[in-house]
Amino acid sequence: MIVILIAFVTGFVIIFLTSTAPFESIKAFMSVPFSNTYFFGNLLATMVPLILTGLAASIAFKSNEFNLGIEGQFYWGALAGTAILLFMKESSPVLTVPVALVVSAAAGGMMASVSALLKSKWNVSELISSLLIGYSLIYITDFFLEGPMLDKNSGLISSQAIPQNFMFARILPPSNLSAGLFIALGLVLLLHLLLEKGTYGLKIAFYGENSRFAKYIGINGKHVVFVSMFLSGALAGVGGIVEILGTQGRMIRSFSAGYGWNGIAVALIARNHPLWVIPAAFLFAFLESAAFASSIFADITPEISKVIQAAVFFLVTASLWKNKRKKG
Amino acid sequence: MRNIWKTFPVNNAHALSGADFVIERGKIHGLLGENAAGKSTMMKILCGLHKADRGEIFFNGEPVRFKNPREAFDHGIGMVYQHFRLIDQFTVLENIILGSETEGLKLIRRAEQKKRIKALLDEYGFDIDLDKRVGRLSIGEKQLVEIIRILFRNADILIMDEPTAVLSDFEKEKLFNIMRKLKKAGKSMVLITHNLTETFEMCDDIRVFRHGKTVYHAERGHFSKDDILKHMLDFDLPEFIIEPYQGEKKVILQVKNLTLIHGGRTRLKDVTMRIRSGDVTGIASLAGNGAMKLLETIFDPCGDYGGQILFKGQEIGHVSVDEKREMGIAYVPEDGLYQASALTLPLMVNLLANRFTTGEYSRHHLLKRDRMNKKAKAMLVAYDIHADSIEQPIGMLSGGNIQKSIIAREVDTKPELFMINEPTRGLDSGAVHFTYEILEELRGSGTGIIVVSSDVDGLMDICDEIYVMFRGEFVYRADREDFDKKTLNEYLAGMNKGAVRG
Repeated sequence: MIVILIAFVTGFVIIFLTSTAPFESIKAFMSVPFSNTYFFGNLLATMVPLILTGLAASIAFKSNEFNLGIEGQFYWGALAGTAILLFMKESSPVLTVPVALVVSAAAGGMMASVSALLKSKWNVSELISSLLIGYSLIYITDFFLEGPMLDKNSGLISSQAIPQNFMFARILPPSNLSAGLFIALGLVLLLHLLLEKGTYGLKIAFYGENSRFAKYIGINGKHVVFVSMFLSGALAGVGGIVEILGTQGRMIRSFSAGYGWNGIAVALIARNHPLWVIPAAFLFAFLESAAFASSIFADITPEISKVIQAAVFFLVTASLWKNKRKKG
Repeated sequence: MRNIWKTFPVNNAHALSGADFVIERGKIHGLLGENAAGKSTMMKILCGLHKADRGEIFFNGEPVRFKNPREAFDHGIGMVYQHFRLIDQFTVLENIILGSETEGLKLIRRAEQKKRIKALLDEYGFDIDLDKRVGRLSIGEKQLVEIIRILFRNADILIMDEPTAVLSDFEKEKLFNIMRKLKKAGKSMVLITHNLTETFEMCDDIRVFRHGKTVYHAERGHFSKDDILKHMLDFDLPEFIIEPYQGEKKVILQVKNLTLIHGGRTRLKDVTMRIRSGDVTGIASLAGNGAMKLLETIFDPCGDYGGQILFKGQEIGHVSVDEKREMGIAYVPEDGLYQASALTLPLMVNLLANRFTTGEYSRHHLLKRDRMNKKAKAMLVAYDIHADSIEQPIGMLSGGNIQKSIIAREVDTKPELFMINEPTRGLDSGAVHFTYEILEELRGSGTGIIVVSSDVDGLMDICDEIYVMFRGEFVYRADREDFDKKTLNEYLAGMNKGAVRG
């Protein structure tokens, strides 16, 4: 909590230094996101993909695996899901949407589990492999959007629009908030059961804390790594397609705005605890939308939110590091 | 040191409440007591590592108060810690001079220092290669480097914190010789230990600490084992008697011609043994001679081996650890802290780590927290584990309590085969007795038990038969009625050779 306060103070100091009417700006920054349903709804809409990527990072970190390919898996899931949706244009949404969700999850999960396999087979660091594979996935996605899937009439580098009847219902018009929020919250609950209440969570915790101990107690480490990486990638993939179905409506090049990377920060603030992912994602979404709103209503740039995000990130990792050292 | 008081803010417990200690020139002083009696704290105050809340320290009659270890060093007081503070990648020479660098050109200085160290080695007749990397030394040699490092800084008082806990009998004898030489040269020493035999052999006087107080002091020739034990413990230790198992003895484990080559070296050679229910089988072996590898190979082999390992007639070479545990095999490794516990996780999950997936503690992959909590609490009572709560991270407990928790977890499932490595190392006599009682109870329920240890005395107390392993081979085997300490120790040190079959 203190960490977050310090981060905000840092942000305000910068606003003071850069803005001509600092108090107006701060007021806009703090209040506009809550001022009407449009801004507030959009804040929650930004939160949805952050929850999903935050969960993705949490499950990997919990087993002491570093999945740095979440951004790539997010795109990859979105791409696979979008392809399914466009391919099955004529079918009923009751069939198509669930299929798209499953395909997106599988696509993201498979890409993440490649790193797990590389690790258990040849001891390749999953940190490096997931990062590299993640970046390649973004470029491969770009290739599809610029080539086979390009919608020439749109004037954008983007796929064709998803049929309107496939899209999630908007639940807080006129904002972008959609029923995707319930998918995210449902998955939070599921992950909470799995990680905090389930036997599998304990296995992950044992393995993440001490892999030698896990081996000794009879836990199959390779299995744990594979499953947690697969689930991590799957959550990232679902995050991608939910963003398409809830907000975007078509897959536009670089639509993610760093959701994958911010998910890692969200997981760090939430200390990998699924329920804490919700407030952590809310904080990040608030910073995004506050910066956007105050750049309209006051004379500060959206980059200010990046500064506060960076400060939060920096301070949270610093305090984590301190705790680790205390333990050791 | 007079009337020293010390409280640690962590748990607000009095580590020391009015303890006294006297050190005289050219004498070896024994400092005994159970774990957490305040022995180490007292000596750390003397070394300037901790500060006393109250009390006085006199050095040659002058009152002193050391703010940091350097000040203590300037008065010639140095400590050999239980965990060595050496840098493995540096040579012996570099480790010795580390921290005592003086002004001047590095090369000239080093040559000069080397000369001084050589002179020191000659003076005491120590034999060690100064240019060898410390990482390649044996534990005994590392300890010698620590001692030389302190002598190099002109220390007159050497404090040794449980120096023998990590040594084999052979290395122990070497250390004692070093201590005798130092004594002859007029150095004073403090020997912190909970091993009685050692103090009888080495010490000029003995002080016993209990609950942070000096409760007993006697000069050489005036102390007796009974007196010391009485003062160390809150209770009288009953005589430990083993009762042979009355039930039918079935063969539980057979090891046949087991050979293991790992990392290009033969670790185990043609090992054959069998374990029956209700038997306690000891394997006497010094570190690095393969006994630990043998237990590991039975429990979780790290590669292919030759020969057979049969559990109740079934080959278990390719059975997973998980399944072995289900079959009733339990194992307590030597490195309990890092291999057998998840230090930052709660005590509760550590106590039940080997069975949280069973139907008793989970259903549809969800944990039954209530039942787990209840069981963990019951285990704290049954195994006398001291903890603030079952939610406390196990790493916060004392070493003895961690060891007890690990043993509790492994024996509570009533295994058919129980293997334990160095069960008594680093434990005080109360905890050792407790461990023996647990083993005895297991034996009574028909478990086959293997105990690996370098402590022949301990094995002779509890075992029905003892094998001696030397360089990966069984070189000797004896039944209880034929136990002979001298013979066992000779085989242990490799002085006699001759393969035996079990």
